[in-house]
This record gives sequence, C-alpha cells and structure tokens, in this order.
Amino acid sequence: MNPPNQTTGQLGASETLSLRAARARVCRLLESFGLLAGQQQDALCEQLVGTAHDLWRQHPGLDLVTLAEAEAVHRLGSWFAAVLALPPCPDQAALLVGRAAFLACRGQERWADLLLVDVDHLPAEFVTALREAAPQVTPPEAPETMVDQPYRRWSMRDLLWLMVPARREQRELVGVAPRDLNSAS
Amino acid sequence: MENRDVGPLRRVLLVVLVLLGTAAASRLLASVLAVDGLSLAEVVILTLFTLTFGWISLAFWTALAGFFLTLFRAPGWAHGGMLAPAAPGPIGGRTALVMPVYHEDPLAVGARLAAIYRSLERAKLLDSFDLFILSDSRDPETIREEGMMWTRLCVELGAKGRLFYRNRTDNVGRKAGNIAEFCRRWGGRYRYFVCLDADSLMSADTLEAMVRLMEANPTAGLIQTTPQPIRAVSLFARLQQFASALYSPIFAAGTAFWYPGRCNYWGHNAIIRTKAFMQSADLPVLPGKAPLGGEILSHDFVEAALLARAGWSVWLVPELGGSYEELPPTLADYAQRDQRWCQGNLQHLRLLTFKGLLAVNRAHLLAGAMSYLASLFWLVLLLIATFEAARLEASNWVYFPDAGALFPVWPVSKTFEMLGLYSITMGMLLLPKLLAVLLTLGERKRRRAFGGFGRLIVSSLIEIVISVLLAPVMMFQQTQAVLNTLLGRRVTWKAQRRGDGVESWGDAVVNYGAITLLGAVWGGVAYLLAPDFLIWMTPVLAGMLVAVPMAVWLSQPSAGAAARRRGWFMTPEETEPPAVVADLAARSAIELDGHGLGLMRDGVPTTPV
Repeated sequence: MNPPNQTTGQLGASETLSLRAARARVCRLLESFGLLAGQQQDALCEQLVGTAHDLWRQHPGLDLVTLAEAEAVHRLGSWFAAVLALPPCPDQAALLVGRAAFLACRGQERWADLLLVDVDHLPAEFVTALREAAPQVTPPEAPETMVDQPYRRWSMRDLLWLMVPARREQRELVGVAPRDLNSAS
Repeated sequence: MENRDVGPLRRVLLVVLVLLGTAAASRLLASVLAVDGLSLAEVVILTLFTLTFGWISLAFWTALAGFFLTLFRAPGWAHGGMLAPAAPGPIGGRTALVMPVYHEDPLAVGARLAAIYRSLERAKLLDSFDLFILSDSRDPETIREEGMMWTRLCVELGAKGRLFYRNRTDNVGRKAGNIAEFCRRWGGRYRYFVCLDADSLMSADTLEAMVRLMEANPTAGLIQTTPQPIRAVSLFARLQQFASALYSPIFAAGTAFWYPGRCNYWGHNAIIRTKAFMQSADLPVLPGKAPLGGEILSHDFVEAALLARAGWSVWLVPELGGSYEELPPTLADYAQRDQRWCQGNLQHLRLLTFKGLLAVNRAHLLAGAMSYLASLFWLVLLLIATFEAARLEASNWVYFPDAGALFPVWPVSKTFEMLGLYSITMGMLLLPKLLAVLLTLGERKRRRAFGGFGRLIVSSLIEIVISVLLAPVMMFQQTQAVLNTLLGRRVTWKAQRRGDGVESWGDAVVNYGAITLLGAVWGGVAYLLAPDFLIWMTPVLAGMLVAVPMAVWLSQPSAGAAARRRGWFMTPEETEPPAVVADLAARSAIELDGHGLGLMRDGVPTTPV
C-alpha cells in the first residue's frame, strides 16, 4: 500500500480500502463483546483504528488491518488485565477472560460505554461485577510426572526363548503395582 | 473382585477354534490346488488364503460369542465375574472430561460440549466433573473462534469454574502429547479422566457409571465404552451408522468375552485412572524416522498395552451405552482417516518385540496391523489367482503323462470343493450380519428402533450389497495406504471432516478412476484368458467398475435424506434419541439457523446473552 499524499494529506484509494478493512476487523472483535453496530462500536472502533493508522503512517510497510487488530487486542487485553488485576499474562489470554467476564455480567447492556475508560475512573460497581464474573481459563495446576517408558526391544536371545521371559520382564520393568498405587492414593 | 482370571482359558479356546477352522479350510484349498502338484504361485495363493481366512475366522468367532451373550441377555457374563458392579454411594473427587481438538469446527465442538454439560446438569452431577478443551490448533483464526466458543459456553451454560480452555503452542506428540501435557499440569487434581474425541458425545449416566466402575475396581486402569455413530447425513455415513448400530453390539460383546480385562483402548470415550496412566503409559519414541519410526502415531493400542504391562486391567464394557461419535461423510474422507490409522497400525509392528508387553497385547497390535495388511494380501491373492487361472486355461491336459501308460489320467473336477470353500468363506463373512439381524428381529423394541421388520430387512440387504461393492474399493485404498507407509510417505496431521460433505464427479474420477480402469482391464483379460474364472471375480470387478458413480452417489446428503424418508438405515439413536443426542441435535439446529451461537460464527450475538 502506498503512503498518503504528504502534500495534500488526502488518502489514496488503497489506503481507504485498508482503513475500511481495518475498521471491519476491529468492529468484528468488538461485536464479540456483544456491542451492537452503530454508536456502541463506532467511537471505540475509531479510537483503536485511529491509533493503528497513526502508527502505520510511521511504518507504511506494515499491514494496516493486522496492525489495527493487534492494537485492539493489546489495548483491550491490557485494559482487562488491569481492571481484573490479573497476574502477568499475554494480551490474548487477558482478552479471553475479560470478554467472558464482560458478557457474563451483561456488560454489553449495562456498561458498554465503559470499555477502555481509564481504569481509575471506572465505577466500583462495574469493577466488582466484572471481577466476580471472571472465569478461570484453566484451574490451578497440580503438576505430576509422567514416568518415562523407554523403548527396549527383545534381544536375539530373548527372541529365541520368545514368551518365556515375559513375566519376569514385567516384574523387572514395572516399578509400581496397581495395588501399591491405589493404597498410596 | 478376586475371581479367577478366565481370560487365558478363553483365549486358548479362541486360538484353537481359529486354528482348526483355518487349517480345515486351507486343507480343502490345498486339495483343490494340488490336483497336478503345487506350483510356486499356488503355494503363495495357499499362504495368503490361510492368512486372510484366519483373519476373518477371528472376526467370526468374536461375533459368534457376542451373538450368544446377547441372545441370552448376559452381557455381564463376558467379564467372567472379574469386573465388580458399579460402586454405590456418593462419587468422591472430580473427574476431568478432556476433549483434545485440532482445527475442528469450534461451533460443532461447542455444541457437543454443551450437550454433555447439560446432561451432567440434568443428572445433578456437575460437582463431579470438570470439562477441558485441550486445543492444539495453530491457525490464529481457529484459536480466536475457539476462545469465543469457550466464552460463550461459560456464559450461556454458567459453566464458570467447570469448563476450561487451553491452547498449546507446540504440538509435540500430537493428540497423545496433548493428553500427556494435561496430565503433567493437572493430573494431580483428578483421580480419573475421560478421554473424548472432538466428535465424542457421552451421557451423564454413562459417565457416572464409568466412574463408579473405576471406584469398584481398583486395579482397572481403563474402561472403554463402545461409541455408536450418530448424526450421519450422507448415504455413505448413514450406511456405516446403520451397520455399526446393527452389527457392532455382537462384535463388542464378543471382544469383551474373549479378552476380559485385557481389551483394547480405542483412543476416546474411555475413562482412565490418571495415576496408572502417568506411571505406566507415557509413549516411547521409536528409533528411526517416520512413518515407521519417531513419535507413535496411533497411541491407543500402545497405551492399553503399557497399562496392561504394569498390571492394570483394561475393560471393554459394551453394556454401558450412552457413548457416541460421528463418521466421515464420504468414501474419500474415510480413506483419508484410514491412511492415518494404517500408518499408525503398521508402526505398531515395531512394538511386537517391545519388552514386557503381554502376549495378548502383542496380538492386539498384530491384529491392528493385519486389518490393513489383509487388504494387500487379498489383492495379491486375487491377482495371482487370475494369473494362475489363465495359465491353467492355456495349458493342455496331458492324458498320458508316462510314455508307456495304458490308461489315460483324467482331469479331476474340483468344482464341488471350490463351491464349498467359497460358501464357507462367504458364510463366515455374512453369518455375523445375519445373526445380528435375527437378534434384532427377535426383539420387538429393538426391531422397531431400526424401522420395523420390513425396513430392517430391506436396509440390511441394501447394506450388504453396497458393502460387497465397496469392499474392493476399500481393498485398493487400504493397499495404497499400506504401500505409502512402507515406501516411507508420511501422512499430514489434518483435521477430520465430519457431518456433511460431498464428493464431486471430478474428485471421484481422480480418486477412483484408476480403480475402474484397472477393473475393466482385469475383467477383459480374465474374459479372454480365463472366462470360467471371471464368474468368481464378478463381485470384485463389479465394485471396481462402479466405484466412481458409487462414491458420488453415496456422498450425497440428498440420497441420505431420501433413504431416511423411506425409513431405511434407521438406528435406535434416530428413532428414539437419548436426551443427550436430542439436545445436541436441537442445539445444532438452532446454531445452523443463526439463532444461537452466532457470536462464535461471525462475531454477532443474535440473542441476548
């Protein structure tokens, strides 16, 4: 895509197309928050695409649509991370939890205009509702170890005796018996 | 339960039955072939016949055992009194239901999970189960849609804290690696986990029964259910679904009978004791390169073998019911899946000498490979038989082999023996189907569930005709899969198409045109050189000649719908859908109409959340 005409400031045809595509992509993301097309979306969309557009003017080699989506994910993700006081995590993960919380507390009906508002100026009722509604993407981990089972084949000698050593091998290879394991658990 | 292990005795009996039957049939064929001495080609024919006959004989005896168990309504007897009944009382702890997904349609996955969740909710079992979506998807758009699906399910179902989503950035070990990673991270939280496929559906009753069976049988490492296909649309899938619903119960009961506590794992719709799995079933990496080396592609048989090696029992409990899956819609999709399974099963041959495995598990691994090798053997057998028939036709009978002989040596007709052998072979192939039909006809409720007396008979006959015509096509596809594997061609890990899909004429010509051409040439050559032999080859050649139009016709959803309107190929899950299946159908219909999870499809919530 060619950069805008520096003299007149007018947008080229391809830039206009890219801007339209970027808006469509960001609107689609906002729709996933239950925000309806029109007033609910427009301001936010303009805000997010505008930032991306400014960035693109500095780096015209980048793809504006990708840039706009990345900006939207970053802004929304970091905003939700801050509002929900999430531990450090990727923007996508914060977005996932934030969106679920927003929809669960019916944010699209009650607080649509609060998305991306400065965290310090958010009503306490909204923050509380959002935090209460936030689901866990995964439960707390309880790590265990998978015991390695190396690939060991019968030797030629074993093959000559074929199945005879099978039972003995079982006792040698398997360190823990079902009953031991059950009594341990 | 401390009952004596009856498995080894039963399996000795099975081996004796298979060996005796195979020996008798092979002896009969040898008597036919050896009229004028055995040529090298005839020795090969005899060998391949023995292998393939032994293979169908195994299936026959499995079905026969299953038939009698079902006839006497004694499914529990299959377990030889070694599987204690489900433990009563409250269920302790939580069980994880894990659904590994890889580039699946998030909408369809979500619908299945929602149906399972609602089933658990209705049974008031939500406190006993957690659901995990274990994504291995790499495509950012799919990952985004999966995230939306999870969001929507959490909100719509109120599944907060019970439904989890994890996307793995690397796909080490594919599905088995995905499960292993789950175990490493969350294995300590769950005594059991139920492994699902992306197309799996299970009822709450069955899930509860599985947990209770595990509780009652502390040495059980894994309990496998028999998933029934559902929601078939195309005629091909409907035929497979009908065949599975009608025939698989006796095969499953027979398998449970011959291998009590030493059954196999089919990779999904099974409950697994987490600690047993983690202690004993981490898959080894095979030396050498893929496809026969490297990561193990088909994990299930190997995991069952490793569990058994560590002393855990592996059960198939067909009477559990409430377990479902979906089918590939077309012959081409079926072949694609077969290619993957074939590669995995042939790789298992390398595990036959794996230290410590039980003999029965080595037999399972060999049987898995044989299910594909049999096609290659069958093709080679037919080709050599054609060649040999043409050779015999061309050679003149020598009436006086010895110069000074006074009396001629007359050719001996072996038509009776050949017809007998042909009948025995066809009988062993078709009798299990006939027995399954008879069982169903004899039970009023089940007969009605299959559409009633007349429709069941018509459906069975059509299914048998089409399966006979499909058999040579599948023989070629599986042979190709075997050769691809042996030649070192790797299969790519692709998402499997489910639901509906159509095979175009162009695709069918590309996929089966060569089979049809070969059939025409083969038939022509047989007609010219060995016209008598052509009659024996007719079923095979007919299938090859109609492969292209048949593949197109079978893939049509309209053909499937037309059959359904006539009441053909009906299954109990269609005539009287269980609640969980009905719930899934209703939910899918809503989604397709755009009134439900529109959010997941195109980002627009079409109903208030």
